[in-house]
Amino acid sequence: MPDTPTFGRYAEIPYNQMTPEQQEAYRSLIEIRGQVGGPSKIWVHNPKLAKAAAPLGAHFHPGHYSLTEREREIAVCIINSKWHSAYPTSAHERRGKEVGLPAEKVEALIAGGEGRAWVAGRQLIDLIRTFPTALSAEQLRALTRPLAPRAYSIASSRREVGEEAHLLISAVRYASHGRARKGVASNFVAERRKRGDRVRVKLRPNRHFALPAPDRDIIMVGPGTGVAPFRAFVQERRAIGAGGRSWLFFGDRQFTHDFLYQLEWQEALQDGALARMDVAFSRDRPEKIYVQHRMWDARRDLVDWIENGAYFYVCGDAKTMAKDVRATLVRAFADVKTLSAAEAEGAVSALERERRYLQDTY
Amino acid sequence: MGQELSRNERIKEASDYLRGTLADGLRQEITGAISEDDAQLVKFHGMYLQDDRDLRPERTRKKMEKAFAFMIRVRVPGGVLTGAQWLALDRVARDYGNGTLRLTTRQSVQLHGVIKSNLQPTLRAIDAVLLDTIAACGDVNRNVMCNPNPHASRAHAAALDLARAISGHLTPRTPAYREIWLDGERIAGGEADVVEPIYGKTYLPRKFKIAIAVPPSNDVDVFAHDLGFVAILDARGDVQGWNVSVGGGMGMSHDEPETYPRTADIMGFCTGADVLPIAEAVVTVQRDWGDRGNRKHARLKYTIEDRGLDAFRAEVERRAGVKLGAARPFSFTSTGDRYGWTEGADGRAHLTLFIASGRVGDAGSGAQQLSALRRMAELHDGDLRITANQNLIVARVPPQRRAEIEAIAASGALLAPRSGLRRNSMACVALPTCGLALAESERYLPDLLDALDARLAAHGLSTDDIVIRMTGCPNGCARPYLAEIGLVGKGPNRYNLYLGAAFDGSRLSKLYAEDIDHPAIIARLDPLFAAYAREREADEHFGDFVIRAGFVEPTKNGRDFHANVGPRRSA
Repeated sequence: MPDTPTFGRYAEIPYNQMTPEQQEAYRSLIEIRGQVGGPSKIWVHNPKLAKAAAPLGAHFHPGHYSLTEREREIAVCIINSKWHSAYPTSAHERRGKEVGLPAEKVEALIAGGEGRAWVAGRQLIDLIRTFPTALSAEQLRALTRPLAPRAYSIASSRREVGEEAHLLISAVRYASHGRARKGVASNFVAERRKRGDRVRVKLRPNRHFALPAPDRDIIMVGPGTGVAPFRAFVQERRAIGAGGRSWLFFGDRQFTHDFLYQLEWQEALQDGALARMDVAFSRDRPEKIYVQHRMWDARRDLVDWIENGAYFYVCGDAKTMAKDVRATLVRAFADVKTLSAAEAEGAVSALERERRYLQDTY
Repeated sequence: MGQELSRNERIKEASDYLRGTLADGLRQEITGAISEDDAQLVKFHGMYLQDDRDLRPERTRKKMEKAFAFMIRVRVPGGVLTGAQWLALDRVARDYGNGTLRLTTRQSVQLHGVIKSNLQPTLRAIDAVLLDTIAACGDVNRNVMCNPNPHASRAHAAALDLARAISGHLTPRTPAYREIWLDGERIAGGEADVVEPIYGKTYLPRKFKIAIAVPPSNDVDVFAHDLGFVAILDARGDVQGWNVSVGGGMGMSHDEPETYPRTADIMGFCTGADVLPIAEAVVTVQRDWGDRGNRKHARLKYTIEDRGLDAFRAEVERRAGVKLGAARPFSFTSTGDRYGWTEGADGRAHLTLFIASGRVGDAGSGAQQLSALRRMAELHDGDLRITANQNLIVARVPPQRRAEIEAIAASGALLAPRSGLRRNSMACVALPTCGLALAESERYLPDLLDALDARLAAHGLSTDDIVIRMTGCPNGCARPYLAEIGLVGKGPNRYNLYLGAAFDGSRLSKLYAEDIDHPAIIARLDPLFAAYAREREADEHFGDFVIRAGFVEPTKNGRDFHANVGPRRSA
């Protein structure tokens, strides 16, 4: 078996140590691919997958497709670049040059060049407008997918608002590549429906993201529309006279224009439904401030509340906010409790296992 | 007096030298406001709590409080700023304000739209260039004005020195400003005469304004101020001493005739060395004699009316230990600015720019005035002087820079317009931010000027200097009662029209038409313009003409302001 790097990510099994099933899978891979190098050998760990996948891969081998060698390498480089796949990138960088693509073109494709930059922020309509082409309705339908249903957290408690369900929907409106863009679902509600119109909805309970016993403290981190379920939480706990304290972190762009439910939070702080609220607005001054910065400022109290049994909730943007919030909580534990990074990570992981660190992100 | 003290007096008394609960209020981050009492105190620190009144209707629906923000007024004695100071203000306007600077009718600069959480960074940035905002508003001596006309350079230098000396002498001493906005550290208090030797614990009964004029220019409108000093020049143009004027003031309330604007009386003459003792004595007599029960009767002008000028003068002389001389003759020619280039004595030149209503910003597709002035401040080593007419002078430009400065000014649409009405126009801020406004002012004046310019052109009066001033309420920030045409907001889109003030700022106007809208303003003025074009005498100004021609009665002084109002002759 050739000695190829495994990048330390899996154990390579010498042929004589394979189970008979693995040996059989290995042999069929050799038969189809000619050789099994590098990461492909990981397939041997799962002989059933190897036996199923190898024949599929055969269709992508030379002689089995209509693309020229160069076209094939262009496609592979673009896909590798999109997924940041290190091994195939290095393999096909070599291959692309071997089949006669100019070296600088291959490197540009890998660097994620023009193609990816062009696609960013554009939609199908832009593609068709830029490169007009005759498409039948059927072809267009096949290229697109059905609109997905949107899930919104209910931002109210029936104990406070009765037979209503309040939703907090931010109308998505922006301009990109010279066109005004509107979010389909949010503007369906914000613009295309009028008061009194009916909207089809489906209720989907989220049992994991629920309130603890009334006497427990809760900490809620909900920037932007992520604050929706916490409005429901605060209403609910006020209505049942919960004894536990509630602490809300909220953030958005501008204090003046984006302080969602500001008057209600002021009231909640007055009547005690909220014990504390910390806010962060990112566009009010040159330096950006986010909820995690306010968490860091309040880290002593934060750790104190959690050690007293508080539940910690995060709702909102999954891409960066939720990760930053979690990382900040880890750092808070490390700083306040003088823990190593690993110990602090362990403390937060423990909260997750106990289901006291709960996330609802999108 | 025996009269019950006004609420503001109790707030001041309890404030511990203007601290109140401001430090705590700044920490309340879920509201953009501060407490009602603190909102009174914060004025002494140079700030007004305001809200965007355009947004009021939608805010409650959105479950948000009013769109609160602060107006911050920077104290600039004599209106003189260095280039570095201008650049710092430009920066904070863009970082923390609404992207504009507002030059005021009292030679200071206002930032608008600064939210509470940005107050400290803003004030620290202002402090870093040796400026401050303390006493820019409130019941204290406000920004001291002086003639910025640099072509009268020796007299101007004397006036500016005096403005700075008076300003320094009368600035509140309380450490509260540094403590709350800059350092955050509490400095121990003390006895009133130690902390505030001039003001004491309760400061003045009401605002107090000082201006210094250098004849023949009355650009500062010296008669509109509580205290004024008028330079008396010798044949060589040097200052011999100063006439002292007291008891001017603009503010009044609609339909309350016991309130009225008043032009100041000349109280006497003093030498330069006696100015500070006199200024301090005027302030302390008003501190002790002024009405602390009724804030609408608390300005020095009412003290003088009630006690008489002679009694007031005697008390000032006694406290200052100075005997005032007889007032000396002087004469004013106008209240306006001299636009364009003027030559200085030292080979340097000065360019007076026109800033419509003092608002400097970058309009989306229009003039990029803020950017143009930033470029000027970056390459210019002289100074920038704010005039009492909301304009700006680029001062002390060396010959080799003149072309460049003028090109930038032209590119930013900062050169004076041709219209004589527009060149002599002023407007206060009013809506949407000023809480007192009853009608539009700054946002409406340009449209009105367009319409009036068309009428003036029809009568061949396009380039004649006619002073027009507009305010959104009767408190008089743009000194409308000293304008030949004064418009004062009465309600949405409705104004009182005042006529007949003197071009040199020495006589108040008279109410001519009450509660009229845009078409009526034009309809009432157009025949007067026609008559003026037809019947005026040589060099006769519009304000004098409407009186001589019998259209309106002259106003002799404050008490006479509300008498014999309305048209006296059909136009």
